[in-house]
Amino acid sequence: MRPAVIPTNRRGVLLLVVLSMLTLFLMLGVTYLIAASRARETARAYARLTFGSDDARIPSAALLDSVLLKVVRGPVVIGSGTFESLLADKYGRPTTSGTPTLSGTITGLARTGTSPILTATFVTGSVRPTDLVGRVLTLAKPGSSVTSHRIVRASNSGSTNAQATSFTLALDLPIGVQAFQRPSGTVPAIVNGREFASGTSPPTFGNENWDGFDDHNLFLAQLRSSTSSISQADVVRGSFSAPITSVLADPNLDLDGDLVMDAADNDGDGVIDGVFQDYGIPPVTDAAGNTVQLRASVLVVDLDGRFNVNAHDALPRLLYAGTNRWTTTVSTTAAPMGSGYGPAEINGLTGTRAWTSNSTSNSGTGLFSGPSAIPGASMSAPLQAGATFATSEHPTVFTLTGGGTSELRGLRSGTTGSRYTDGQATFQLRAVEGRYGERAPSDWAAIIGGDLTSVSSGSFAVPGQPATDDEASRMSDRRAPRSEPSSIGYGVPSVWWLSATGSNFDWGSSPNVSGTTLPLPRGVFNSPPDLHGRMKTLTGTAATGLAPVMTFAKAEWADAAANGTRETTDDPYELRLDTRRGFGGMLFDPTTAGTGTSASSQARDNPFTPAELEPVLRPYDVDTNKHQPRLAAMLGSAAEEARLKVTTDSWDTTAITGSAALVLFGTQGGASGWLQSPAFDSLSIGGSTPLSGVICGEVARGERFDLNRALMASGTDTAGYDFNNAYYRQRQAYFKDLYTLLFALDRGSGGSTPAAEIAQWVANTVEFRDADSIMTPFEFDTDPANGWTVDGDVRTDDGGSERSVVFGVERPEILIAETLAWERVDPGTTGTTGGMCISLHRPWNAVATGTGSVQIPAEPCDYALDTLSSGNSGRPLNQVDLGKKPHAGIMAATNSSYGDLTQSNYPIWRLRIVSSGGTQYMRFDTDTAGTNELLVSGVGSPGAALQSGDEKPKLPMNTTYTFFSGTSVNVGATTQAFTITGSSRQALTAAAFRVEGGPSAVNVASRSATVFLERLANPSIPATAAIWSATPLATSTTTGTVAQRYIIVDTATMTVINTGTQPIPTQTLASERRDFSSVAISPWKIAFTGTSVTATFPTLTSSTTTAWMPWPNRPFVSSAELTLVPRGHALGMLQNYTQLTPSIPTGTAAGAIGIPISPQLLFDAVHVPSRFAGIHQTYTGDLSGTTGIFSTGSNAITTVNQLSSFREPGRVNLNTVPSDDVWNAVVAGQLTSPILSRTASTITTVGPAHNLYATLSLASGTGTTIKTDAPVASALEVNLNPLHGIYTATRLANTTTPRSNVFAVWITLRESVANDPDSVRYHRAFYIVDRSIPVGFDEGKDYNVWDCVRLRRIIE
Amino acid sequence: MTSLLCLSDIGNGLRQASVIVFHARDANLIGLGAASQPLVTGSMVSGTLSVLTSDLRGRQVNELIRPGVVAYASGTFHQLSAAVVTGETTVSGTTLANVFLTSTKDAALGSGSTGISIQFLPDSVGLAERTFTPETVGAFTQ
Repeated sequence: MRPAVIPTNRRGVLLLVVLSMLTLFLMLGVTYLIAASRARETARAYARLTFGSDDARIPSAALLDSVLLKVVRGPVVIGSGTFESLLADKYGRPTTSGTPTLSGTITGLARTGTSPILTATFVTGSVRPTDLVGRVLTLAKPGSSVTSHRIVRASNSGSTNAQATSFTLALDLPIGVQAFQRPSGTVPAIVNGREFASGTSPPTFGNENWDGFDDHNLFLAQLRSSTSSISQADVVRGSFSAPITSVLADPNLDLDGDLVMDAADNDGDGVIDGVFQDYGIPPVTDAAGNTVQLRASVLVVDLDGRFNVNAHDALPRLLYAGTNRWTTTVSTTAAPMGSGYGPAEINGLTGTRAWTSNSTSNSGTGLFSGPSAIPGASMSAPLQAGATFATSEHPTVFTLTGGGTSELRGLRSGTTGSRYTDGQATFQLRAVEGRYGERAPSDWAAIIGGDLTSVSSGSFAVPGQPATDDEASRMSDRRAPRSEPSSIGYGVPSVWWLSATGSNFDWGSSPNVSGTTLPLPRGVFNSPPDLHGRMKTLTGTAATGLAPVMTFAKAEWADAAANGTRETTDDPYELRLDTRRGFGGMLFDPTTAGTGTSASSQARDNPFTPAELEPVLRPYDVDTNKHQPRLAAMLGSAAEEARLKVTTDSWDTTAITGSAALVLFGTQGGASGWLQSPAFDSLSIGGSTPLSGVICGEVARGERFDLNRALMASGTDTAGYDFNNAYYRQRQAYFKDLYTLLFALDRGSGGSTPAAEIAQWVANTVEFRDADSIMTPFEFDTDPANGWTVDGDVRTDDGGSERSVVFGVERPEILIAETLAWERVDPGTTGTTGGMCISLHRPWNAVATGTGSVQIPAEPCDYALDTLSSGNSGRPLNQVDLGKKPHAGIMAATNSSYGDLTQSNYPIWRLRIVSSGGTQYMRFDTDTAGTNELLVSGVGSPGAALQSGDEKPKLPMNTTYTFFSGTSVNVGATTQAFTITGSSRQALTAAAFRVEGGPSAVNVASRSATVFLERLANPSIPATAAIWSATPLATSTTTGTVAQRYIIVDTATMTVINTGTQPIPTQTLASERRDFSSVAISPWKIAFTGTSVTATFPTLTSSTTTAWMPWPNRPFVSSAELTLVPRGHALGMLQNYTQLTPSIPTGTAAGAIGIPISPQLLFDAVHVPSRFAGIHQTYTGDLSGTTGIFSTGSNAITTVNQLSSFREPGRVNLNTVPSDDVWNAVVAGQLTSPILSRTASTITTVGPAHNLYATLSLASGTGTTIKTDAPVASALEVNLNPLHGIYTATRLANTTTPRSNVFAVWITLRESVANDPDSVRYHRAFYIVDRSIPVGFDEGKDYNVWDCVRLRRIIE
Repeated sequence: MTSLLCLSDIGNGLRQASVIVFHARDANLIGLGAASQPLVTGSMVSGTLSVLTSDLRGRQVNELIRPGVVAYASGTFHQLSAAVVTGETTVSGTTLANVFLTSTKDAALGSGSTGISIQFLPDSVGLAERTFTPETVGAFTQ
């Protein structure tokens, strides 16, 4: 059989068939692919066509914008009701508020060089210049861009305040990144009403001073964190409608019975938050001939009551968490960190309670915290060294420093309603920068528990440029323009204490930071500054002595010279948030960007933008994932709850607002404001220099008075009373402007506080915040209501009957602690013998502590009063030299008069004893007695005169020094001896050291004498014999023309006991001792009680019942510290002293304490300006045409030279806080026992605070007393130091406000055909509006209103 | 009936008005006391009152000191609520009397071993005091 053979020529057929089949399949595939692609294209085209026809029929985007414009600039007419718009709520609704929009024309708009000021002529209706200043003027020339400007000065042709129709205006440049194009020719212009300037009873649609959930702010919806579900909000009320509880109860509510549901969920979270209403959009007709109704629902949510991820919190709480870097000598564990310098001390990182809890204590978990159950992610101390961060999330940390992690974890346990499962991994966060830019995540472990210097030098995420004192911030910190030499500083010093030099730090000269010349460490800050918010301040009873000890402990001082400007480098306020800068929102990878160490290669700060906030606010919308993801990603699983808690922008005005504005500026064209008085019709209100005119500086341009105006330190160049010296001009200008402001607020509101009382308090305010010990004389006009008629130079009498002079009061450096005196007249004898003892005490017992036991005096005496370590040279010792002589070189590095014992060169200090026998003077500075002069002996041998400066008595802090005639007294028939404790020195002539004269009769048991402690007002002016013998000042005001005089700073009674035997019975020796029995008065009040002297004198050597008198001698931390400024002259202050306690309401207290006028008014008219860089601009140089706006002249740097943008970041509106977490982050801060007067859930029932004072009171309405902290042992010893009582209030005054300016606005547009529920279609839009940006406002007109819309999103 | 009005500063911004009423005032005493004032000035130590005998102008101490009489001591006015005189001697032109005094303000006046100065207003019968806040600043309220 032949094997089967397959012919080889048939094999190709099979291959062909296979190939054909393959080709067929390929062609089929291609065909299907083409067909599918075509179908997709067709579907897309059809979809586009459908959308196109939609737009053609309903221009939804334009309609949504039109609704927004109505909401923003009005009129808001909904159905038959009228509501106020956002801008009407700020500037006043033209027809009802009494502050109508003013229109006119601008001509001659000019700008000189690069001046920040424009000048122009404005022709308008008849108003006064003070009607215009501080208001917003908008240039609206057709064809040009519309720009808004602040009027910083207005004058009529006569330079008076009379009504006129033509004014010369000075305008600032508009905010923005675009260059301003100056329109030419005649330009139509409008002027907005004065912002937030209604009083306590505003019209319903008025420009009231607050925003909250009440009838005056019906535009504002109230949403708050739900306690039952994270994903939902409790809607208490919607916008522009009555409370919508009925709608919430019935989601199918149909108000008009057209079968179309009227409830709206604007923000898409599944909760009804509004009602569709008729905003006046005309109906359209559809293709089928149906009438389509257009209704809108609007949700306006406030963003100012939230945690601001740009401005709030700072690195210290991250760096030092869980560590005790403060000190090892004093327990600071319980003490709160920070001093309240600004929004960076709002505490989101630690110390707020859990979101579901209304507990009254801090849980320590932070605003947003991760789960505690995950290993290595304990959030109670999230950032301790060694913690593992890769598996944890801590959103607040991420937003600060940036970060990245392989996975994020779900919410902490116990939460419900979240889209994330508790504790389960969610998603990865790619490494991304936080608000400070630069790198961080992989380096956390390296920096936590470390110090800021290592962070900065490693170019980690720090504010500003790492390891650099940024220029803009430097100007803001030092309060000096950059043209000033680096050695000049009127604000926070670059280095306050170089702790590396230990306790011998020389605070009299600039520390040796390599290659730099820096301002004097204590030039203007006698007490430590705390710009970073990392200091702990404590007061406790001292182990020895009569005074409590105040301790300043800081996590970091400058520990090495090379670390340079530690105090001001990389402080939280270097972050530029001003819109001039216009940056942020970058998705830089921190592992590759900005990691270099050279300045050019470093990335800068990277703050979050409103666009990045958007996905957080709208988490439930389909388009969310298309938007800027950085913030939402960092918030991780907390992003959902964060939509009610965070913001990227919160802004407040710096203008004078509320009742204060009404009292000063009245209503437009009226005569009700103090500045509108017809008395000024013939007077110039603003002066041509900072020292003339009734109202100058900030107030003259409608801005709050800057309490921290630059006041230069005293030095060798300020010796004497040279009125042309900037030292005096700055102080006199500060005094004048604050005095006239208080006077105007008082008189304008019907008050009658005597002018002298106001002047004394204002003078004390100047001395309270300047660092030196000079009691500056200020000249003032007792009735500025008829013009300012004095030149400010006290040496010239130029003011007629209204001229007066007041000397400011410095802290009571030395007190008379105890006196003892005796004399003996026995029957039959002719002479009188006797003796006396006088004890002086220096109570200022403050120390700054470094690591270990290193410490230095924290609030030392002024250099001019101090002793130098080598006598006439060396470092100051914080020991008051009682024998120091005044001289022009007293601030020099050497004290040339140290050894001067000349009798005719009179000393700074003296004791004066007045009795029935005459007047005697006790001197510590000379070896030769003049008439009625008693001398102290030298050290070597009792009875020997002083030999040298070293032998002059010195008083270190917390020491008592006794001067005595002897220690053995013949009382009756016996001899009583006692010993002198503490430092002591016998009088030179012991026999003569007794109260002059004798008893009026032999039977008199005792007679009284008075001891006065007196000092020269100015240690840099030598005292003449005339000054020596002139009557010392013991009253508030004088009419004299001398700048130097002795001022009584303390007094004590002295009972001279007759120790004779006959005819009266033998007495016991008794002293007059200062009352050390109660913290309410001791040791300050001039109150003496008789105390038996037996074994020792002085009779008291230690006390636990004395309290600290806060007198920090530094610029204010915040306006709340004004409550600590004492009233009265130097003597009256102590005579009427009462410790500041919560029970004494500020402003009405008689005596030594309290603001002398209504604090409700004052707190809305003064402020400590924001410390954020770039908010204020400092100008010098050519400022032509700006007289009165800026002062000129060399070195005369006042805040008059600072131009504000009238908006500052980071203040929280406590009226609208939506969540208890946020409330605690803001109000409680670092405290473990927060003040909980009000929580978010009770805001509705309590009602909003109407001014800043009420905000500080944590109360509704106009407020009662400033809320004070409760005492906490070893932390806030309120009883020992009232400063601790206002710990919270101090911070709140810098971080809170009753107003809102930034809003998120949702608008939903509904189209529907009546009775056809299926016809309903929705269109949505989302906006973020910031009305702190000045825009022109006239109801119904657009102008540049879009400039205040920060974000516009039409949601497709 | 005559009266005396006194205004004094008692601290904390408060002032006090004191009115002292006299009945049948002895003209013999007026203008002849210490410092030419209608006063009898003395001192009290351990319950012993000493006054210059010449100041008494012939009266006895128990005529001078009666319940209701007003005295000035320790910076304030006192109206005696009890006055007991247990003995009286004269030494070196000084009348010494053992007395026990209580006032409406102070339990026992001058009973301590450290002396106090005391000034009696003879023939005074009433004291009325009222604390007030001055409305203005002036010479009278400083």
